[in-house]
Amino acid sequence: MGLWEDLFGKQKQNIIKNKETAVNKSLDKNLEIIREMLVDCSDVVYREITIGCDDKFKAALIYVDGLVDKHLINDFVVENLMIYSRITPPSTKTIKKELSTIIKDKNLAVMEMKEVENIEAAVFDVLSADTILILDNYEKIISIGSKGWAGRSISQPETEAVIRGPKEGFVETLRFNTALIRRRIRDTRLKFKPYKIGRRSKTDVCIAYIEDIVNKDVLKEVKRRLETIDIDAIIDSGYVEQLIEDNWKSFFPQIKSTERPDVISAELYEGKVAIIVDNSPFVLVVPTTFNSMMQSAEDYYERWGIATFIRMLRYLGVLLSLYAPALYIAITAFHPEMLPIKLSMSIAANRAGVPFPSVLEAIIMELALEILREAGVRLPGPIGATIGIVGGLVVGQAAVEAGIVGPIMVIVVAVTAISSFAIPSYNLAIGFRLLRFLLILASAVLGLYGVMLGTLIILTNLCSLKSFGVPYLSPFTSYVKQSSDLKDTFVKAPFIGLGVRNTVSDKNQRKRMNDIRDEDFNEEEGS
Amino acid sequence: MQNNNDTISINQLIFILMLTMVGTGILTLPRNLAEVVPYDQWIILLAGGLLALSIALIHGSIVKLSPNKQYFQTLCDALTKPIAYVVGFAYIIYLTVFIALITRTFGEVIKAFLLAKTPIEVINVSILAVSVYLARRGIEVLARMMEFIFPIIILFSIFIFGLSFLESDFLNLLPVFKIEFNDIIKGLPVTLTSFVGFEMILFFGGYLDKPQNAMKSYRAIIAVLCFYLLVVIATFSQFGPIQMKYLVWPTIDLFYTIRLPGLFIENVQVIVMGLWILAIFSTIAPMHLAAVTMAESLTKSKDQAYLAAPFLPIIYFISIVPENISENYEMISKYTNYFSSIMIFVIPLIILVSLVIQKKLRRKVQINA
Repeated sequence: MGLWEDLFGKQKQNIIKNKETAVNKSLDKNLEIIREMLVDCSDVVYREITIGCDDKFKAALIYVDGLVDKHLINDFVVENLMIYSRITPPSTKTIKKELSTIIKDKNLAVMEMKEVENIEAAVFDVLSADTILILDNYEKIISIGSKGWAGRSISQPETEAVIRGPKEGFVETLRFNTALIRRRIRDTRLKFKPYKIGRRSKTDVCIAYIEDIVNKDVLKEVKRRLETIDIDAIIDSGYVEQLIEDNWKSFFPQIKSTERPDVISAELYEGKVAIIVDNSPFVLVVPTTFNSMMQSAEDYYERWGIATFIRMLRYLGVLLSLYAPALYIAITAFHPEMLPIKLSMSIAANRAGVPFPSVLEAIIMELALEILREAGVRLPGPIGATIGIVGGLVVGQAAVEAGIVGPIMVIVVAVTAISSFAIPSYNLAIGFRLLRFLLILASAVLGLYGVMLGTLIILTNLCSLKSFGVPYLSPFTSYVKQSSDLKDTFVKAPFIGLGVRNTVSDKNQRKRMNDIRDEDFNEEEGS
Repeated sequence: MQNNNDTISINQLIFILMLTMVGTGILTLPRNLAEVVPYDQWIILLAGGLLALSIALIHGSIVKLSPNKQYFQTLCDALTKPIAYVVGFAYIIYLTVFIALITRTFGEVIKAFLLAKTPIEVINVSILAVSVYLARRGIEVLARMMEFIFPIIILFSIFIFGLSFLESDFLNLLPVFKIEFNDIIKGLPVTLTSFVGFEMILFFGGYLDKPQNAMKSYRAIIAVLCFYLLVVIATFSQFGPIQMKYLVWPTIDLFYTIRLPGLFIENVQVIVMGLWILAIFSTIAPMHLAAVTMAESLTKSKDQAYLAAPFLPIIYFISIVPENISENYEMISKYTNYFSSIMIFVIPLIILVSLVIQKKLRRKVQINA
């Protein structure tokens, strides 16, 4: 960029300037300005009313239809202004000047209210689902918090279902999401810092952290990166993720996203930072390591033995989903002597009728699998399941009988697919899906040696990644320095062993649990 | 939190040193020892290890005396600038040739055991390309990578060597304590060859976060010495000294003898080859990066990433100079006997002496002032 600026001068900055128009004294003038700004916006509702028994004071209410809680506006704003102001004292004669104060303090029975001083801010409030009340002869506009749109209610997260554990997931409304987190962290030190990102969309983005546990460097870095975002609109947290991640060239996700409030609050207690984006049920967590992507919420709710076992299975799943087809090609095409002779013979016999080299066989099957998977996602529920069965069983069987692929290849592909579903993080699994093809090609050219070279490249890439300053593969790449972090990796220590936070968290707040139980709860006293 | 770029801890440096050393020696050490003496090879190994240890201490104290300085800077301080340029360039040549010879050995082994029909050029260039990919990313990535690879190599090799003991005959190790002093002296260069790689501390010592700990690098030598003792005992107890002389790669032949009923994989040589690739890569990559950092200091460039790739063709062309594998080995032994000993022993000693004298002088000046 520096060179560009040297050669061609600074690029024109395309920022919309914030104009500020002061609120006019006259109601009609204000309305005129606002109408002009919101011309052709058919969703905006204007309501002009008069206040007081002798219709002396004019006022207007403006809101966006569909976004506001109409019940609240009708029952506690309009009714109060139009009806009660006429029948209850003080009468309009006694209050000439402080009408606005009286309305604010005594008349409007709503909780959220504020005053804005310029028209742009007021219009922005209207667009973000507040209702504004403009009074005649008053230089401020009253903005009434009336957010109340129809949203999806809290339901079970579909992408991260658990057998045991809370069944509620985040929704699209930011406020519900912060509430879900607050319910789990009743601590004054839990902070929600608001941002507005997107020049046009002005999306609410909120970073959550626990003040004294959070890693200060990470927090500073998150704030810095959020402030550098300059984009017209943020549609989903995926936008934010890709705009603030460390390395966009890599196949691996460097920011974890989850739908589960229990996961987010556990991560906050570990000293991480959560980024909540309005209109997205996926909340981001930084810094993220490979290890934390391999964990599932349920690991912590079940006993340590099974959790450890399942985690090891997941790592095995990663290896299988990455290597199975590549190893199959390397063995059949280059090193058949690797396997026991009988197995080798049976593979060769099975493949005898197949006209393609094993790499083509593998690529055909893997591509077919990817297409089936994509088709299954697009189709509605019951049909999606049918596609899986039809595709997996029928096409696979038919392909084997037709002699296009060998039966072992079908097994390999099936194992690959199933293993990749065992990876708890969907976006990590995507990375491995792509890299699998790299390894297939490498093994087709150089056999086992190619597979090893591919591994080295992937490993180098993984080692070079950092998520907000934390190495992606830690603690596996720093087990000497951070040996205490190993307790929660592919082994999950018994719960009482997890008494110390990860080294990501603040140094002074590492201890989280004291073991003050007796040696044995069953031991009888005095015996 | 490791936000700061380009610093490594002493532990990470030890991992780098260990893996660099292992790759150079593991394949041929037993045969080289067998050529020197028919028995008591482990005594030579111990002696060579002690020698390496003392040299490592010299290197450690150099790093300690000039903390947080690139090796070239140290050279400048100790030997004046013009000489430093010459010596720095010599180091680059030394590393380049060494990588080339190792790459050649590597290519020959892969060709013999995995890819009989693939031209050796492809094998050499591809591993060098991966090494370039790593060298572009700098010291921190290398350190993390080595720490990650280390347990894999150690676990698998102990497992495999353990299996090999099932069929070995420890009588092959007899007799003991019959070795003559002259033989030990004769064997020293051979063993020292297997420890080449610990000079990496000179190049990477400037990145240490706590340079005062540099002396701890001796641990790497001790660990590798133990590993080599395991290798030597395993191979000699399996083959005996006479057969050993006629084996090109005794360590790999050792794994061929392993036969386990009921094992899913017919022969463990596949795992061994995987390990072998890892081990050699972890020797080539640090040396490559060391050469790149040296070149970076010499050319005063700010970004080392662009300097990594130009080494590839140079290393590759040197690697195909030897006509065959025996010529390659001859070159390695001559090369390490003369050039290596100068580069890793004589020059560091001179530097150390110069640094110590300078320090004394400075102190004297301070006292006088």
